[in-house]
Amino acid sequence: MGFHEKSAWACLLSIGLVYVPYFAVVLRHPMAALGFFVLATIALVVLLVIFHIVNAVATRSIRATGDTPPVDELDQRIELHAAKWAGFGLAAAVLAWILRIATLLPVAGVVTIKRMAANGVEVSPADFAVPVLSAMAAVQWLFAAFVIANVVYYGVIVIGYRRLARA
Amino acid sequence: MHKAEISNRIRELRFKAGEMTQQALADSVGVTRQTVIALERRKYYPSLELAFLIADSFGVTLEEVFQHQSPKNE
Repeated sequence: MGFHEKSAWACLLSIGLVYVPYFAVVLRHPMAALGFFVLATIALVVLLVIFHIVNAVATRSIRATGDTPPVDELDQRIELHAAKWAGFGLAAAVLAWILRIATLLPVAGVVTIKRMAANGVEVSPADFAVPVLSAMAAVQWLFAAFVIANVVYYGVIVIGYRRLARA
Repeated sequence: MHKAEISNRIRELRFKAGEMTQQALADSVGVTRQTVIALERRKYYPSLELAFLIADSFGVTLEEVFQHQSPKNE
């Protein structure tokens, strides 16, 4: 397994290890997002540094020459292919997010107004309000779309190298 | 469009060049060993630039390294 493939595995594993627990917590408790975001970012950087040090030590050519193997035309081709699929993934996820927001947030706003009216509060269309928790969760779903695109990117790179290795 | 079949003699030429290793060839043309392996297994067709570099590293012409077989119409 070459350096660049191991590097893609490292990114994929790091993203999985950090963002699966992150979203498991934050999508249930959106108000905890800021603190968890800082923690997740630090954890991601630490994991990536550790994985890349291990990768460099485990790669024979780096041990021999001290240089990182070049990104050649085959690596670039695999990366371009991955970027294309990540772009599709991001577009699909953002479109899904827009559809979700366009349908669910107005419903949440109407529910809030109805609840206020049921409690005897005089309401007008100007009172249309989106609950903070729903808005915060929506922002996290958009961030999840970005993370999914990254998973697709590194996943397609790994698949590209695996296909070459299997042949 | 029919897909062309491009074969190569990289493996054979490496052995003729004093049993040159895949890594030595990769270093001489500025690619990774993985790319040389992919080329030998015909899982990847190189750019013209890389094809010329490979031919130069063996001191032969491009045609002696890469052979093009016209696609057959079925």
